[in-house]
Amino acid sequence: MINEGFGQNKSKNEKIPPGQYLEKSFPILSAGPTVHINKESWDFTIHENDTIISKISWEDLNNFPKKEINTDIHCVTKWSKLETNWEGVSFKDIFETVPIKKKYRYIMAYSEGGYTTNVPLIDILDDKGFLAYKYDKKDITPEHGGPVRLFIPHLYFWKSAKWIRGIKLLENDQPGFWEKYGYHMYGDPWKEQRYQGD
Amino acid sequence: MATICMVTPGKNKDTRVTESRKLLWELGKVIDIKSISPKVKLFTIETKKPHRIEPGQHFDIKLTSDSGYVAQRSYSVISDSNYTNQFEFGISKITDGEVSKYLHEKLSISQNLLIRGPIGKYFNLNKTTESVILIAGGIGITPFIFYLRQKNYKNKISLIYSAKNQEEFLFKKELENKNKLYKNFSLIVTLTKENKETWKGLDSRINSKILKKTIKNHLGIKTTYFVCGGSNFVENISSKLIRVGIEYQDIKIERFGP
Ligand SMILES: Cc1cc2nc3c(=O)[nH]c(=O)nc-3n(C[C@H](O)[C@H](O)[C@H](O)COP(=O)(O)OP(=O)(O)OC[C@H]3O[C@@H](n4cnc5c(N)ncnc54)[C@H](O)[C@@H]3O)c2cc1C
Repeated sequence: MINEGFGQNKSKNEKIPPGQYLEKSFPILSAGPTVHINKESWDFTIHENDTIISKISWEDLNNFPKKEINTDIHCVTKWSKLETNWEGVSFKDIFETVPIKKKYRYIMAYSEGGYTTNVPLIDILDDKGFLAYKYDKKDITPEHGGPVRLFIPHLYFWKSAKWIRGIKLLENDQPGFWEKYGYHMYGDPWKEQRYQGD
Repeated sequence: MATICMVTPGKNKDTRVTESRKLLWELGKVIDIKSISPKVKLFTIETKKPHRIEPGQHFDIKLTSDSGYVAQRSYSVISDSNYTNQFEFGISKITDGEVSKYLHEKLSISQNLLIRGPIGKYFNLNKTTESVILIAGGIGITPFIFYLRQKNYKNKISLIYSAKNQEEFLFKKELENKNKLYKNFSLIVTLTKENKETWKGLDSRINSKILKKTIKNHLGIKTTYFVCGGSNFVENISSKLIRVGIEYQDIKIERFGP
């Protein structure tokens, strides 16, 4: 249906997915207050069932190859931000040091404070998923998920968990925090997969 | 929002069963539009089928131009009932706002638009049966109005509300009446840009002193904090709450905008 008299007042941009608008600032989003973690006490754990198969400290993280990522980000609350600049470590490089058994096809990422989100494993391989620690050449601030946040820019931004502390390897997909509240299990902005059933 | 991109729910024990109802777009008919302040209009939209709704939930509104361009925005729902086909939305007009400006200037009674909802089970005020302290900035009052309308006021409820001035003190009569009617309800209002000659109440932005005073009134009572408003407001208030010693998992927030 057409809403008479409704017109676009933003300039058209092919890089903006359907239903999204261009945002110049960088809105902060989270369901709870900002978490403060210092780098020295931060680490990142990879779990296989109840076994810890790897623990990466802040120092370890800095020994991985640095990747600079220039990309657009899309938040399910309808804003998109174009040409953002990030720096981080690619899961591709991490998984070279921690071989992952073939049977695992999903991850459940978890954060300080209790947030979780699920992502297919394949979506963080091949330089598609990162542990990011710099935004716009500066340390990521706590408000935006620093010291380290998950960064999976091809999915809606709720998948890029702030204050990331680890992942659990899963054989079958399971809903994370927002996914349990009815958000989409995958979250492709170009297919507008906002809520379950989209 | 629940508000909604990145989250930290706190040590979350309230794991919920995944709900697999598909959210469909429905035709909503505008049945009433009322100006409630210079910036805010209250729109009542009716759908064919009723929905069960909880305070804190929102609906998405979708607009399509004749060229096929689509915009969507979220709006918190207000109602007198938890099961209804008539939904009120208090919408603030933003200069150059693509959707809010259209709704304010072009939309008229008996027109249709597409809506879907209710959405958001996290920032659901009915999930707590305990006492609450509600903290709103400007238009962020909308979910709390719905909450306050359905309460029996058995538990202690405090609302700290920051608005610009008398005119933008939204739902003033309704709130003041409740304040008189229920001894378990306390309304704390601060008007940050009102004329000091005519307004003798609080006039600073919500600070630790205001928060502490209210928290003191809830001493010994298990309380959940709900904060709603623009992103800066919410960020500011939630960090202040943490700083004065409120536990992370007792604070729930909804950000309305950048
Ligand atoms: C869960 C949720 C519930 C919401 N509930 C309500 C509600 O009950 N009532 C309501 O009025 N709004 C509510 N909002 C905000 C609403 O969804 C829109 O963001 C708002 O109406 C602006 O849309 P627009 O198209 O008019 O402006 P846009 O065209 O999107 O924005 C225009 C400009 O204004 C700025 N801007 C956008 N939003 C705001 C803001 N809130 N304050 C100041 N500047 C802003 C933008 O940065 C941009 O530069 C809610 C948002 C969420 C996520």
